[in-house]
Amino acid sequence: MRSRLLTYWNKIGSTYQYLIHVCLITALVFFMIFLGTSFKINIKSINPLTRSLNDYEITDIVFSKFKDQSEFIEDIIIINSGTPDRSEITQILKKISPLETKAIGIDFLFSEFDSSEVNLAFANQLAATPNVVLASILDEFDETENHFAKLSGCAPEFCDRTNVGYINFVAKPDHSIRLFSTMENVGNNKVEKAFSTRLFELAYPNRSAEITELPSNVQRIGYRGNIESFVHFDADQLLENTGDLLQIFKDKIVLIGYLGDDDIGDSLKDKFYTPLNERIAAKSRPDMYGIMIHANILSMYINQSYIKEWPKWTNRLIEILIVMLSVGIFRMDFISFQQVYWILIRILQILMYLLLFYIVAGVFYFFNIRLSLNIGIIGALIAWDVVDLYENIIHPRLKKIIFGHTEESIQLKSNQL
Amino acid sequence: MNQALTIIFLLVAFTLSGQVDQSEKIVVLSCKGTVKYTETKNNKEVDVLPGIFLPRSGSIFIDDGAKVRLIIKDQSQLFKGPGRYDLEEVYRGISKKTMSFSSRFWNFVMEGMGNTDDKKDLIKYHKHYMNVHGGLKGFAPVANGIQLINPLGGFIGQDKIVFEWTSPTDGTGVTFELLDSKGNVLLQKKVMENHITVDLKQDIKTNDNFFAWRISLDESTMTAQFEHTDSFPKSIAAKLSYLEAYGEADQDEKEWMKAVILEMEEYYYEAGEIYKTLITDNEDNQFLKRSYALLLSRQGRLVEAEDLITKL
Repeated sequence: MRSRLLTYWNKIGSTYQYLIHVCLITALVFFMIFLGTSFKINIKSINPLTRSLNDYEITDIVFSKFKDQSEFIEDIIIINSGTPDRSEITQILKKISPLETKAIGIDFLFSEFDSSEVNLAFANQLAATPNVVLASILDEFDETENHFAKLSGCAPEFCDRTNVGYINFVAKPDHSIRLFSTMENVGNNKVEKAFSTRLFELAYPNRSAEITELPSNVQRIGYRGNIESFVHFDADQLLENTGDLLQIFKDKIVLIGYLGDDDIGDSLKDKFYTPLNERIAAKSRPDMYGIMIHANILSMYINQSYIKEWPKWTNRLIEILIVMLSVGIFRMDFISFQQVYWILIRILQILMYLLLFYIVAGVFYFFNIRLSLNIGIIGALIAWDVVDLYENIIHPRLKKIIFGHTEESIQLKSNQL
Repeated sequence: MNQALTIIFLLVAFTLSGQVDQSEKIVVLSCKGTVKYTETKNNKEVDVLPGIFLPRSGSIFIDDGAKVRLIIKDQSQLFKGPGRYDLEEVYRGISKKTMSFSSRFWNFVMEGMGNTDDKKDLIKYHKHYMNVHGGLKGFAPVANGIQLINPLGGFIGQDKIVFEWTSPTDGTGVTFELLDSKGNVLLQKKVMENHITVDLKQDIKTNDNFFAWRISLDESTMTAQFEHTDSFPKSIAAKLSYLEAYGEADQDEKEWMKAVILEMEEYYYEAGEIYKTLITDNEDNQFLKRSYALLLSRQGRLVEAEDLITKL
């Protein structure tokens, strides 16, 4: 049996032998990665690097370093009302409601109501402005019922008179905001929509099917810019203006929210980390106000610049090919470069990493397609070490087990054959 | 198979592509304070508001303390007052963005490689990174009646510098010392007056650009630092050229504008020198004195600033 195997092995030729070795080593690479990820030892407390890189994705670099963050986004106007004041917001609404805006979003939670003059005036103004969306929040998720309990943060006296959308994002505490949910089940068979989704539907009623047709309700946010990309007013500036504002506001979506009290950028209230943060890892200041995140989601809806992801199997297949290619290269006979062998290997590893990084970043930059090739990249980086392990330890033992001979005797036998 | 072809297509496509999108529009993103747009043809003046489009044929006037952010050629640019900016000139002055993805990628990788010895650099060049500080500005009694007057920080572009301090109350001399960034004493003199002139090129020999000077009397010393640059940065000339009124201004006004820009660029010493000359030549100009008093107060030289204001 063993000699038949050996005969067959010698018959298939060196190219196929090489390929079989490559496949075996590739499998070994994935096994090593599997082992590495299976030992879930908590070393985070002693490893600050792990902590800081925990919230890092390669595509963040594309947002923060490669894409222009000063792209002008025309369709949305932001009004900074500073600390929310109902009477001021009522005045803002009065001022902009005749300006033929497509929709008006108010990114403040008005959870309390009393029959004071200010509240009544605000409620009446809401009723008189049909294209307003008020903010609310999704309460805790009910695991047993598989839906959110209810919407909260908006007093019925206000909410019942207008449209409501939840302002929740999908993110772990203190992590970058990358995801949001377009709509969710709330209570019994009721679908509630996100703040930005509601605004988009109001502004573009003919296009609302686009959102329901998305492959998932959880979407990645295709960020286009921070405050430097949007036209923005201070509330006082708007209210004190006596000129014609129609040409500025006509057909625009207006978002009223908080961008700092005195000067833009001076407060950490309602400010979050996003992939646009200049510092990719480790400590930094939150970089984007909540209202700006909603504006980015809206802009993504309007321009259909959704971030696309290929099916998992496609990513896995590409990863396998990457690792196979890496193994194939690293297993080559570099005998003519013996003097600089180690340097060559390290340079090849760096080049391989850069090439993969370039591909992932480029595909995202140009086509908004997010490739998830992390395992492939790790595989390419450890490929040489696994090749070394295979050639020096596994390969000789494998030969002995399968063919029952040492390397020398196999060579002798194959020469005889 | 299709996906494999797509991958190949994508790789080729983004390697070859570059950014060509250019916009001719100037859009106001935001503005604070008084900002006016003037159309050159009919001299008509209108308020600048966020969201409006500005024709390039006019200019904008930004009042003191006001600022405006514009989108020009797809780039967000902040302009601060006071000043008048000719939009055509500003538009022409902004370079077109032609950097391709590959160039950006390359720059990013190179930047990363350059920063790999960041920590080492930080120690070596720590003086460049010492703008961050904790604590607030406080006021202390003057040591033996001595207080440093000038220069008190920032950059200095000229070689010949007059160091000034208040005279000691007992009429005795003081020790003046000039030190380099490592603390080596480059020049030491016993001085009876309250000033000394040093030519950095002739009187001392060093390649260092960071200096500290100190005045000692008995056991008390007072120190201030500054950075010497061989010339003024190009940004000063550029900012002056943006000011539409600069070309039409008389010589004194030009100098005044220059002093304002110099202060903005942290060349306090030269800005102060210009003010002093201008005030000597225009003794009745109260605005000039107020402007100089503001510079002094911003440097913490409150007594001099107050003195100047009370004499108005």
